[in-house]
Amino acid sequence: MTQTDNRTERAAPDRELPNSTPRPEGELEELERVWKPPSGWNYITVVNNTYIGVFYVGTAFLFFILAGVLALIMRTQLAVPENDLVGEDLYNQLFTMHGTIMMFLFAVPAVEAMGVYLLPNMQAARDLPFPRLSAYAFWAYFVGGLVFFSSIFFGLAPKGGWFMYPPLTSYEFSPGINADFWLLGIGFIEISAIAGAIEIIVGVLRTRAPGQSLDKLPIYAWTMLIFAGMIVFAFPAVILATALLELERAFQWPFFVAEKGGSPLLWQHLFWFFGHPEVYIIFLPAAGFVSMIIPTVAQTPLVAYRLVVVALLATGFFSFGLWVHHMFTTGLPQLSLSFFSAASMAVSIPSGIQVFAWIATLAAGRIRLNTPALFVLGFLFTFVLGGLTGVMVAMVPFDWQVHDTYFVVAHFHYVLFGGMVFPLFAAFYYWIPTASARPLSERLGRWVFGLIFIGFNTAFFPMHITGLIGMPRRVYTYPAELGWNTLNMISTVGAFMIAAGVLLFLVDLIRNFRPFTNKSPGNVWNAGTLEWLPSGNYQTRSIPIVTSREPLWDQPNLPEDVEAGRYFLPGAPTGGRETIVTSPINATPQYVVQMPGPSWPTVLAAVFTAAFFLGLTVKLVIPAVICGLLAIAMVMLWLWDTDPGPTVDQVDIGGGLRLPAYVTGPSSHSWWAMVVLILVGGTLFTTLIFSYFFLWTVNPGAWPPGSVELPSLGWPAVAAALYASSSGAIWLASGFLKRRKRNGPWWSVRLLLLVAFPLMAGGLAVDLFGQWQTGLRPEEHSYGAVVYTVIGVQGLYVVALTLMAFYTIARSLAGMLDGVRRVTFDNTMLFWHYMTAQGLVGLAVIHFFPRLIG
Amino acid sequence: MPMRERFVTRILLMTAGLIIWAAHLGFVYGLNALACTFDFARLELFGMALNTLTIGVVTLIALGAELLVLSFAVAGRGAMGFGGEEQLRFMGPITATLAGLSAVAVLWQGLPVLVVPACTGAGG
Amino acid sequence: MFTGGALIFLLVIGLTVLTIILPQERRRWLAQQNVVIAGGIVFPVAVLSLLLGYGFFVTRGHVGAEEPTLRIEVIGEQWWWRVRYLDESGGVRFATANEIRVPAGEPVEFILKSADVIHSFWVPSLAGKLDMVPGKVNTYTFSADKPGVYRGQCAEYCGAQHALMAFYLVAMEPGSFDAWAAGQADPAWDRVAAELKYGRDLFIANGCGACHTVRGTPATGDLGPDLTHVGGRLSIGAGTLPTNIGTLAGWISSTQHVKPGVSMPSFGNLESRDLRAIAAYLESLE
Repeated sequence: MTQTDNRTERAAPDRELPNSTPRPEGELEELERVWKPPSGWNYITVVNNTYIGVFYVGTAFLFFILAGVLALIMRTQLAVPENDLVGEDLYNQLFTMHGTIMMFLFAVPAVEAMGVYLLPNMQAARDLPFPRLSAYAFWAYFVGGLVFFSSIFFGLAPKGGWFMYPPLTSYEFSPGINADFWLLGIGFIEISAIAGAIEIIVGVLRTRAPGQSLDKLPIYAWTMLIFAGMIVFAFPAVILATALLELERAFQWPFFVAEKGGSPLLWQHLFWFFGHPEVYIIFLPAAGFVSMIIPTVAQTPLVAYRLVVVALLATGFFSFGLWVHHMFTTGLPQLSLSFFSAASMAVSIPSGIQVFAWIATLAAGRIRLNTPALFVLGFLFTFVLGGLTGVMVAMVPFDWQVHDTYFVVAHFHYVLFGGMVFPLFAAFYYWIPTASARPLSERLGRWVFGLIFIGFNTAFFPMHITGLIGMPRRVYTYPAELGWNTLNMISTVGAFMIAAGVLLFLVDLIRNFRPFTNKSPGNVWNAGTLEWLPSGNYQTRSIPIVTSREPLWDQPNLPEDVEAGRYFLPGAPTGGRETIVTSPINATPQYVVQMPGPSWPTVLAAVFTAAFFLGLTVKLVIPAVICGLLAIAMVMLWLWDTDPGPTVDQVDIGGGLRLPAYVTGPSSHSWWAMVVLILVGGTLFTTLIFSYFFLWTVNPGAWPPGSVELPSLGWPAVAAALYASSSGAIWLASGFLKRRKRNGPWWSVRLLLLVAFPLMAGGLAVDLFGQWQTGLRPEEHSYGAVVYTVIGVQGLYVVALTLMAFYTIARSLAGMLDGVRRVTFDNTMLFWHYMTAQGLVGLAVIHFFPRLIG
Repeated sequence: MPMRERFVTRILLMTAGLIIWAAHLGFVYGLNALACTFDFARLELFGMALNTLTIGVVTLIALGAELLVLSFAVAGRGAMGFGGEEQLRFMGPITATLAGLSAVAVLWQGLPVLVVPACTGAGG
Repeated sequence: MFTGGALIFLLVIGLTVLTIILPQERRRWLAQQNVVIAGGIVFPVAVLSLLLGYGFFVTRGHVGAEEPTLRIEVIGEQWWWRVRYLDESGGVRFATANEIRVPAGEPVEFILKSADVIHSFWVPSLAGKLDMVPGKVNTYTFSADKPGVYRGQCAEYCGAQHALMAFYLVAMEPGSFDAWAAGQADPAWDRVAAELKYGRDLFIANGCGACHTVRGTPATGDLGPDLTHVGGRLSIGAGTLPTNIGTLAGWISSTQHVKPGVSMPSFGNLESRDLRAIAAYLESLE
């Protein structure tokens, strides 16, 4: 598809559509059969994004309600001074769980889930490129999240605050498994979030409607792309932090213990390097909702589309430059604080751009004040207010005063509730007609909005004042004589109004929400984007060519032509699920990807993964290990049929366009996903190396500490040589494989994989033993702890690659690997080379840096 | 069949301004942290604190780089790869605006060296 | 700053309202990219530049103000404040707890440390907060300009009783401060009244001295607050209760009920007569 074709297309909409009508008999029935969700017990193995997306959003909303109930208990406790409704132990669990669940189990999953549901619709793809991965991410989150939540019923919920600062949360001051629930539970849910992010990046970049080039991409897809990119760079920091703290708790490796060369501030750096972008990770998709809803309710395209893209990109970067503004009161050097104060100011500009773009769009059109519009206006009101108080707390001297007070509680609820929950409700009212046979009630919707909006401001506006007159956060009680009583009572009343609004919304859902019926009230708001095309389980009957940002407004007759099958891929030519993969910038069709369908192993893998982490939490080590092994086995089972090879030579998608049905190498979606995964790994490793250098600055002049001898340079040299030669073997194998086209596997490839494995494992062993023989032990000093962690992370890769190597050999033995059908091999190869690179960097840092400074 | 879009190169170019900003923040923060930890913030060169001087110079270099990106993007040079098709022309103004915003952010990050002492702790 | 913020807020909300109520032709001017550039880029860059510059100068103003005339070490512990007045050479002149007295109008340097987890030192009416981080020493110099009693509270969540970790900062006229400080440096008064002597003996016999110090007596424990002059303090239990015989007795007999989770056990086994005697003794330690 070239640009010229598109122009012809626009000039003569009635002619030259890719496919002619009437369509062959049975084509639609075949498409329906292929995409039919499983029935009976197998129903839970469903992988369609329209189903998983709805389950996912529903579960996230369930956690919103659960965490909201916890908030109501807290507000009841604080309604009057010196209340003894709940004691300090329960209260501390309540606020820890409220924050943790809202951030990790509601906000991030909710926006990610909306992406899983909406993105294929907006891009007219039949599904996201890795449907089973979405299903896995959902089930892992569902099972893990519910078990995590139920810890509060047993008094085992974490109580260290959602930020979990050590040393309070380490073994000395938090014995018991409460903190482990947080560390393992959340660490694991973050992995699920990363799986979703990889899916979304590849989905947005590679499965779009032909012609939906970057400049025609719906703003929402832009926000999700940047959202997912931010997850890739932010989440590894907190995964590392949780891993380090768990190592400290379980094995006394002293990363955060000051007496043993650790530093509590290391945790704060790692946590907030994740934690501040996290706020924008939540906000950007919500801003994306707003940028989609405003043009529709105003019936005019978004003004300054390009500047909004600029704003999103700038937010994505700038938000990584302000983590220290959560540490203004820790006593860091003034000048360092000033840098971050500057970055905190910079990040508010993109928000300003978006706000004015929305105002300009409203001015360009004529707003219809329906429920989505009301929630969007409510969002503007609250978010602007929250943004302004945000600028205030970015001022270092002001922050010294209000930090950790109710002023900050008010500020971030204005930003998060205002910035994310209002848009989410707008999105529910706006997009439910695409998922349900009936839209929600406009009449009830106004009441829902009124209650939530007034309740929210009643609850949170007074908190600005409560904080300014000195009430700190996270207190379960307060004395009566400090003048905080009335304000707290007002806040409590407001909280219950919000609850009433949410309750009314549930009533509306029960009365009107009828999903999975394949019936739809149609384009009820007269929106311009592709998710409003008529659709079934297979999404749209045919995949349209897009020539505008609002195709439904600008391309006449589009819904009818799409529904009649006049556009691309109106059937299921490979006999299975498939969608078109397009190029990342211009959205030129490149190939047809065959996608896997429902699968039990995917669901079981998720359940076993959750069981593995929870088993570790409650110290049932052996059952946990068994579950872990089962999870790995299930993942392999599920992957076994996902590299189908070229089952058909080429697929005719219409318009004379014949696309390959199987592609390997750098343009395949699988390669892209692996590259993103490597970016995740690289970020994790970079934050680990940052931790190494940070701990060095905590121990200036004693790195390594006095009694420790560095291993002689022979050790790293041998280890490096072994790593490099293992990669060399893989490289050779790749060359051999290339020469074998379709004549089955070749022994040399298997042999090289078999040789590469001991080389790699040997490298690790030399690396590890080199340190061990000097007498260095991880539990004595932070130096040893961080050195063994670098080696340990390398060890994880070695284990993963061992599994991958034998899996690849197994596929070769099964006749599923050759010069053409080599996606599995390519994945192993990319990961292998990354492992080697990481190993070499690790060796260089650990062995050369101390010599350099010593 | 699929023409080469040089996706990675183009995205890196489009966000070049932001990448320069990130590098600047990382450098000045790292340098100041080390200077205060290892107590070389007091070293002087030409009567100015070495630390302050370095941060100042690096800020100027970063600003120069931002302006370079900005001017190339505005000029729409072939070297930046934004000529030609509609989809790619879309990236030019984005590149320029991002470089402009980043320049402001770099400037804001650089200015406090003139006012705020390097190593005194908060409070005080 | 609040006024500025309010004005910007009203401007944005006002514009939004205009886009809804004005007829289309009278709001056309708003619907263009230049408005977005002006409102979203130019305006914030200008305002924020000013604000940031102002912030830098204020920040510098906070730094290295005057030379302190008094240095006090404050150590955060779960969930109380150990307070040590330092002499010129940095040695400990005397120790107290949960109450800091300073001469009004004179800059005082607070040397902030932690004995266990992270706490944050904060007197809202006087100055911003600064964390107490294990392994790190933060210092903070400020003065209370007017004599008076100022409440302080831990501002970093530090575990079960974070809510009940408060203290009082009492700013005194410089003259009376010197007298107070001299009294604090002295050992505890040796009382003659029989009941007080009885209370003191019970205090020792019940092992209170394992954790508490009362200078001039065999009680030299260092785990809990120094009680040498506890009767002269405004509060007990780190701002939890006012100091009088009743609250002291209540605290000793049901510590774990008043402030669950603290290191001190409840001495619920004491006869009420004995309890009262210990409380009276402590109350007398002014």
